[in-house]
Amino acid sequence: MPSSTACCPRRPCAPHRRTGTSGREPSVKREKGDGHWTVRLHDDDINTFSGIVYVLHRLLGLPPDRGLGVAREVTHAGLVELMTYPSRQEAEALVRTLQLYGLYSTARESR
Amino acid sequence: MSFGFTGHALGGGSVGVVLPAAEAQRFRAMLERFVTELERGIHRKGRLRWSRSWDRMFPGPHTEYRLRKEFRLAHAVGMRQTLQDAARRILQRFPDHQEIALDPESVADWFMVCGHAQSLFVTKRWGAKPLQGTFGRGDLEWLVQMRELLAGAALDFYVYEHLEPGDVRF
Repeated sequence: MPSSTACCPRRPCAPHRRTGTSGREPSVKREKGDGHWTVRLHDDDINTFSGIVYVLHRLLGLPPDRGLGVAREVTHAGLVELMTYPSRQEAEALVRTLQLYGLYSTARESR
Repeated sequence: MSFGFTGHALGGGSVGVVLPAAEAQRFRAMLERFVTELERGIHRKGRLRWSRSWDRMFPGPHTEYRLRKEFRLAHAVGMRQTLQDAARRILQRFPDHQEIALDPESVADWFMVCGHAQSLFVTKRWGAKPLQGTFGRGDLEWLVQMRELLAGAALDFYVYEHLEPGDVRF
């Protein structure tokens, strides 16, 4: 959604009144596939910190300290958005590899 | 529960594993069963069809059914084959002595297989509390602990040295 629409959806706010614009822009109908794809890593009851750090280091080259940060985040938040790709195929390729290494990962389209 | 194997870091992602004969035999039996069941697509004879066993091993990558189905069509065979190849490589190079040196590629094979072979003993390993219950508990924990050892040693036990009080410990 364009930021100006989010800024004043009902009536123009002060900055838009000064510039004489309504703040409302024509809505653009998004086609499916417009967005990008996010790979998410989910918390589970079987993978340990070591396992997560090892896989992130091996597959993504993430240094162990950053991998440990991701492991903590996924444990506390339940999931973490790991990577974003422009296409579904690229995101699925990473999901496939993460799942082969035994991590619980999914892909989701975000806009 | 503790098992008779130990491991140490060899540096550069390589891992040394000391696997006594009884433990090696146990692992070999699990590997053979895993490869057979991947080939046949049956978890337990008469209990589970090929089509469902993939669902048991891998969580759905999408919430939408259509996308899950497309993912499965595109990747299921390849994922199964990757696991089968990794398990076969381990069996082919299976050591006849206790001390084993695993290079990073072999560590990855062992790690992957020790993860997915757990599905021999649990319905969905990523589901809630998979270690609860008694069915196959010994073998399941063996695989979990071996996987933990490999991951820890591959990174020179970095994680163990940097765990904080609030962190979840194995």
